[in-house]
Amino acid sequence: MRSDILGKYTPYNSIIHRLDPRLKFFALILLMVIVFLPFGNYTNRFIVLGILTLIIGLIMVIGRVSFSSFFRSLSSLWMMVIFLLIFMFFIPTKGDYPIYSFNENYTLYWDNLLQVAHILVRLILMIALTIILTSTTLPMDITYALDWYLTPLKLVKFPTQVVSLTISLALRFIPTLLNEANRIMNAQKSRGVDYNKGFFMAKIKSITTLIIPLLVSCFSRSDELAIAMEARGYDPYKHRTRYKSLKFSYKDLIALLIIILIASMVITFSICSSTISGFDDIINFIWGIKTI
Amino acid sequence: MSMIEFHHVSFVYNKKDPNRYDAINDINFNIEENDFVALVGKTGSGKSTLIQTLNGLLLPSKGYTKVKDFIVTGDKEIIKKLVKEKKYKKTELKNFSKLRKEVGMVFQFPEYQLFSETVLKDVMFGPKNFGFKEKEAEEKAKECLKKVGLDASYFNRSPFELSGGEKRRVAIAGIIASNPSILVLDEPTVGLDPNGRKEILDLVKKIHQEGTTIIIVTHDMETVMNYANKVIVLKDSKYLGMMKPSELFNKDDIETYSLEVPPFYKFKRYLKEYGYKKDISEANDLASLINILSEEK
Ligand SMILES: Nc1ncnc2c1ncn2[C@@H]1O[C@H](COP(=O)(O)OP(=O)(O)O)[C@@H](O)[C@H]1O
Ligand SMILES: [Mg+2]
Repeated sequence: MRSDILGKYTPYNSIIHRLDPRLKFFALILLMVIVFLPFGNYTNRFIVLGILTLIIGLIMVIGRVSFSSFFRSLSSLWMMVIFLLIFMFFIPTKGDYPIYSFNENYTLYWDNLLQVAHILVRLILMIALTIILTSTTLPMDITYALDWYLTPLKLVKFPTQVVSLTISLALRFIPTLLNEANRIMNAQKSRGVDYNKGFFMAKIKSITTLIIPLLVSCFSRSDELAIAMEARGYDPYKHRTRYKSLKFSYKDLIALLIIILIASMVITFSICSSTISGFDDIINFIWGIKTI
Repeated sequence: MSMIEFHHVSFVYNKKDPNRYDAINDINFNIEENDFVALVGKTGSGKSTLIQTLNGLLLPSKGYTKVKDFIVTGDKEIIKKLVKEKKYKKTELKNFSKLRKEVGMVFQFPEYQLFSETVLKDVMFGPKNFGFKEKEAEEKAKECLKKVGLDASYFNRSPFELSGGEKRRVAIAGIIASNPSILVLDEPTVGLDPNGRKEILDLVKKIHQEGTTIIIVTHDMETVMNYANKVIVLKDSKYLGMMKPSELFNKDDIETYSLEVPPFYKFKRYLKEYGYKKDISEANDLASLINILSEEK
């Protein structure tokens, strides 16, 4: 197992790191929605996605997100690609540009390939967005943000503290568990287990040597933690104060404005693209205004 | 040729990261066959990192670790050189399965590696991975369980229902069952009571007497004094030296090594401080010290 796992927080001090976690959380959701909006034909879609890719790439550069670990995480997408390609091969939809016609009712179209690419690009962008959030924001800050967004639910007596406690404990224990997993794997490797080799059954068998000890240690850890919390008088339903209070500064305001600006442009385009049939129309439209 | 050689070994964690950390730095020393070596140093001095290069769990960022004929390194220059000189094939430098059979490694809290339904199966797991036949592995497992003091009544019990000390002994049996020629133990007695500690250490001593080379990481200077024939000190990622335990504890500047001195040597120190004139530096056990003291008058 690698220590530089996907999206692990990296303690740089970039402007993205310093933004309010609530803002980052909001921006993440907003951008994810935008990526999945419809934009009419494929030319439109890829132009918009291209622009979004550039923007997201820029944010990654500013936030010093590790591109190498990002690309490594993408390598696990190949299963998805194969699945999509098989899917497309067996259930081809109609299109305009045929690749090859097997007989009169079975034709493959370039459009299907484009569709696969479209799905992939959106998935990749989503992964990128998530990585930006997690590698520039401390897990605890993400929980604070989540807690803040859940606050309105307190009005209907929803136990938001319990939810955020559960999430923060889960986040808190990810590194601990990874460490533990690493230790167990080292011990098993020393006993001759090779986690990289072998096929299906061998893989399952070698994973068992990790999972069982990991579960055993998890359970004993959770027991200890529960006792420790109880011993210190923890009551999940009491009102809690925070060690670090969140401040929304002018930097955050500017970032919020930029995000909203980008979002509204994309949304407007999305709405327009369903009524006009693409960039050609827009260009004609602008050209039309000019000539008037 | 020595059994184990460290050649300018360095290791860096998180190389391309703000968390980058040089855990060990330019380590050079050799360990001979059938040595009983204690590796000491403050927490964080790099002991665990260093020993993990012995079976290829970590590959030195610079330099190489040589165990018998095996070379462990992640240093591209060295790999290139060795391949070019046709001494090693590239695949040989990346496959550590044979090496891992030779180097048994007992980690802290080894009981966390247990996973099988029965004690016997768990002990057989290692040998089977290293190519022992079923029958052979079973023989060996039974032999090793007896060696760690667990009789036949334990063979078919679940490892998870045993006591802490028993679990640890099962785990150690699971490692020596592969018949390693080198046994490395990383703080094997942490969390045990004095009795349990002595049992484990006496077991290690027995294994040593049967001809296995032992490397033990420990914070307990009594262990160093009573069991090891050589001690290696690491401090702040660097190698400070290898010597006899008595030599280390007799050093006047032992404070600079950040080590706890065993009571026996503390006593000798007090004697000197209170003005005892006779030379007691040669007295390295209680009997010979009493001898010198009683010759007085
Ligand atoms: N997986 C790791 N990632 C990053 N740093 C590590 C890792 N393991 C150990 N270190 C660091 O390397 C240093 C040496 O660790 P270690 O070899 O475990 O020391 P010791 O066993 O002497 O206590 C420590 O400062 C530790 O924080
Ligand atoms: Mg250690």
